[in-house]
Amino acid sequence: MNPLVVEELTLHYDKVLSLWNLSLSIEKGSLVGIMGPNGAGKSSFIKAALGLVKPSSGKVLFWGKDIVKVRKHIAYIPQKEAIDWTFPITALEVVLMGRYHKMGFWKRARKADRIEAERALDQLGLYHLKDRQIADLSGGQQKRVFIARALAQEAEMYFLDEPFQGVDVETEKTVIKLLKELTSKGVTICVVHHDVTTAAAYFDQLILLHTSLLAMGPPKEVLSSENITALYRNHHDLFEEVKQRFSQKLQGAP
Amino acid sequence: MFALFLDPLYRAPILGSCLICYAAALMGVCIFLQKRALVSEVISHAAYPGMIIGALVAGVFSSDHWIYLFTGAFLSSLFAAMFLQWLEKKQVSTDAAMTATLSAFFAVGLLFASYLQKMRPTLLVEVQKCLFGEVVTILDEHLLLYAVMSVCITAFVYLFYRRLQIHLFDPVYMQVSGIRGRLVTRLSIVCLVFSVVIGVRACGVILLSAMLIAPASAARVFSKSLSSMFVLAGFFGLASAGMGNAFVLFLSRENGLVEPVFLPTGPSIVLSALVLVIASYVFSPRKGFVMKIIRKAAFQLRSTQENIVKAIHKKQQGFSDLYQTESIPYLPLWISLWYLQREGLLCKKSGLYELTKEGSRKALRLIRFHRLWEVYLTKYMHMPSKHVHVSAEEMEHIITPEMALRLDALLESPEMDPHEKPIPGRFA
Amino acid sequence: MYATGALSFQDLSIDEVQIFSLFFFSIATGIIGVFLLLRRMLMIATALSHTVLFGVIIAFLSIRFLLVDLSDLYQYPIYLFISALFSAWITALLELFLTKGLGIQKDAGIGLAFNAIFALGILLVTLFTRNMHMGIDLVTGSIDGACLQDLRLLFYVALLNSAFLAALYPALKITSFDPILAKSLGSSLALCQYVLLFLTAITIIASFRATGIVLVLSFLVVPYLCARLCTAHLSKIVFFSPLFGSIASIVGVAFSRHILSVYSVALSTGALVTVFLFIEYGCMLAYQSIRRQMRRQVIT
Repeated sequence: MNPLVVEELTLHYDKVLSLWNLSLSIEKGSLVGIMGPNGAGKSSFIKAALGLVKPSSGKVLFWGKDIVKVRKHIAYIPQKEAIDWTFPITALEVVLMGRYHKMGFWKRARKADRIEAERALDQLGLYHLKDRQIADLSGGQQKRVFIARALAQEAEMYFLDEPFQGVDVETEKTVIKLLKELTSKGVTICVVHHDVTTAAAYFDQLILLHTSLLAMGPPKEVLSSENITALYRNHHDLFEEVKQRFSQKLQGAP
Repeated sequence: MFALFLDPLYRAPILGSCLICYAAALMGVCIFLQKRALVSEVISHAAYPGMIIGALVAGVFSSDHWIYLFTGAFLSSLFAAMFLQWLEKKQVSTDAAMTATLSAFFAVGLLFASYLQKMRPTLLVEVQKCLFGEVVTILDEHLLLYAVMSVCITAFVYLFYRRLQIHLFDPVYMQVSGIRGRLVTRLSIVCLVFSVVIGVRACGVILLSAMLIAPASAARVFSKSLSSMFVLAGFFGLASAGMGNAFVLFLSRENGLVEPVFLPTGPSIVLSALVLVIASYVFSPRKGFVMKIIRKAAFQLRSTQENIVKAIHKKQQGFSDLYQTESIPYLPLWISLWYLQREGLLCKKSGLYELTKEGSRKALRLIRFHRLWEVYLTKYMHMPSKHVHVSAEEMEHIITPEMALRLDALLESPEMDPHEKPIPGRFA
Repeated sequence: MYATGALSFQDLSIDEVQIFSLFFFSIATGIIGVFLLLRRMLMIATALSHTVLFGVIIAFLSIRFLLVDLSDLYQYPIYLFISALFSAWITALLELFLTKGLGIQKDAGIGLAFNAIFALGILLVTLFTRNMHMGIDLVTGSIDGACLQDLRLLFYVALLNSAFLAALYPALKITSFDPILAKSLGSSLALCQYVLLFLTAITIIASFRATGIVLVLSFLVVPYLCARLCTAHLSKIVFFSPLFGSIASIVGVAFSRHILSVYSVALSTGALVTVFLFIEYGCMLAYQSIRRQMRRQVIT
């Protein structure tokens, strides 16, 4: 059973058509990049896949099952904007959240949990910062804390939303190396990515999204010149207009 | 003053309001961290119509018991809370929507208040008390209810701590990784409504939201974790209630009032809380205003001392020479010289100041930092050599020995600075 | 000047005083409310609605030797203006101190600021007037006890707000919709802001005698929302907004009178007109969604 199978997913977000008739399948142990221009539906796809928004139609199956049954095997690393950085919490405590499912009924962190959390931090080079408030960490360190949380969770599938935005080169290299190690151990990873130049080097598979699935496959194939121009040269203007008019009519606007 | 607190007449009211504010403060932490101060306003104003309608129902049953008021307030605040959640789901929870909701609930309350005046005037008085808070008539039986409430809320926070932490910090993660959050969310709303409904007795409908936010704000300054924030907020809530009540009692005494029935307690509790908040932000050792000023002054003084050491290293000088050449104001100069002597870096010989061995070592160290920095600026930052001196004058006070080691390694142990002056060695 | 034509002022019955008072009140709030909402100044308006009490008290205390009772303050509108200015100023000051000076987070800072000032106001009121009723009256409003002075006051405020609208309309329009463009065009952005704040404070002080400080917020928000459902043109919104408020006022007063005479139940008129305002909005919403349904059916 493939870790992720999407069947004809259509999503309206804020009354605008975000995803249209999306169908794809991701194999175990692959490092997949999701790309497309802004507003093309990349974040919407992740939100729909994770059940954070309800799709208008279509199905999403994880290992052949509905997501509610397998949630604890899925880790989500959000965009920077989605986090409250002023919260009184240390790096270690954030990572400990990942161990939630392993904790007993009273949800008190056991010694084993703490050790695992510290190990996860160490793998990302953050052990010496474990008691620091997250507000006092640099951008790259903040991102790595959340990846450590996913590690501590021992998830089998990771979703990362623009993890390399505003992050220094060192962090980016460390993270990609870690992600590749994880995939070699059988973890499946989906990353929303924005940099075309590094996409070929990082990912086994690329998904090009612009409201519908434009292309999916190994980077060399997908990043052909036609696809790129189609993506970024807005040959989709007419499509946009039509789809907007369609949405408007559906909502009864004049 | 303290005799007042033990006086049987005031004991129950004061203890009661302390318990009430403690419970409110705990739930206030959740509101504060979710940045939802306006929500607490709406829920507390919504208690008002509930009380009025409860009183009307009490009238139907010809009873004067407070349980009707309590239940009514609980139901209407709960309804308001659920309405706000619904608004949020529809993504219409703007300031305008919430303000309108607040006003609407209050209007319904006022609508029936005038009717209540005719039917059960005694109950109306009870309700009006809850507009601004009035604790004088709290009895021991009420105390039991408040104590139970406080214990329940404390238990909730303790038992569900980890879930609360995740829910407040990263609700999306909670949803995605399948942590069951529905129970926590629902229970926290119920606890919030409970604390609001009992809170309006002490602080009043209008001012209660301040008592939810203020202790949490003060606690935030000192907390590094959610648990310490809960503990501190609870304590600050208690303290505000105590101070507020003491103030009201004091004022009543001063004005020769035997029974402090005139002064509502809500305002004075809120003002006490505000004082605590301001005091926390000003005097906190880590982030406080006062400490920042002290630390700044301490740094200035240390820099002055180091400049004096360098000046004396160049040439032995007397006090007035230093005063003129280094243009340091009188008082800092005097303090610095005294301090340096105390530290054993300086000694006085026949009216002139002279460096001890320790002092010379320090001077050489400073010069080394200064000149290393100059080399760094000219080599790596490509700054012209005539400008680097000014920057180095400031940086020599900031560079630590560890930084100097790294500079040294980076610059490959230079021997001369840009002005052709020798750089003192590492072990000078 | 008065709609009743030849009738002398003294001959107005309580009903008519109420209707006219609320009518002018609706004009005043309807106009100001539109711009408060467009410029997202509602939190500030809520803050002001609490802090004007403090301003009024300070004005009262400082001229105490002239007056006997707080209600006499309304004889001297100049003091109301001064207290409005003072309230607006002190609100802005405390909020700035808490959020920028101390670094408290924004929503907590505003909430704390105005609640604290309100608390101080209540404390002073009860201390100096020995009477809780003052505080409660402010919250509930006293349109049921409306007298001619109140009518006069509300008339002046309505006039003032209308004059403001007429004089500054073009500037208001630009600065509300696009403050950045306005700055580049040199429109007096700051002037509009300060005048708006000042007039909000005045309107709220006037509302003490109408619906009370909590319900005035409905009159600022809901008429705009109703008007917005009808049209997207600012000029029409500014016209419809007071209109919706007035309709609710007239219906409310009539209903209140009816209930009183038929069932001998005295309801708070202020609350009643507010409730009718919300009913009005509900009707508008229902009407809109029905229209939408019908259009959808036409298409499919």
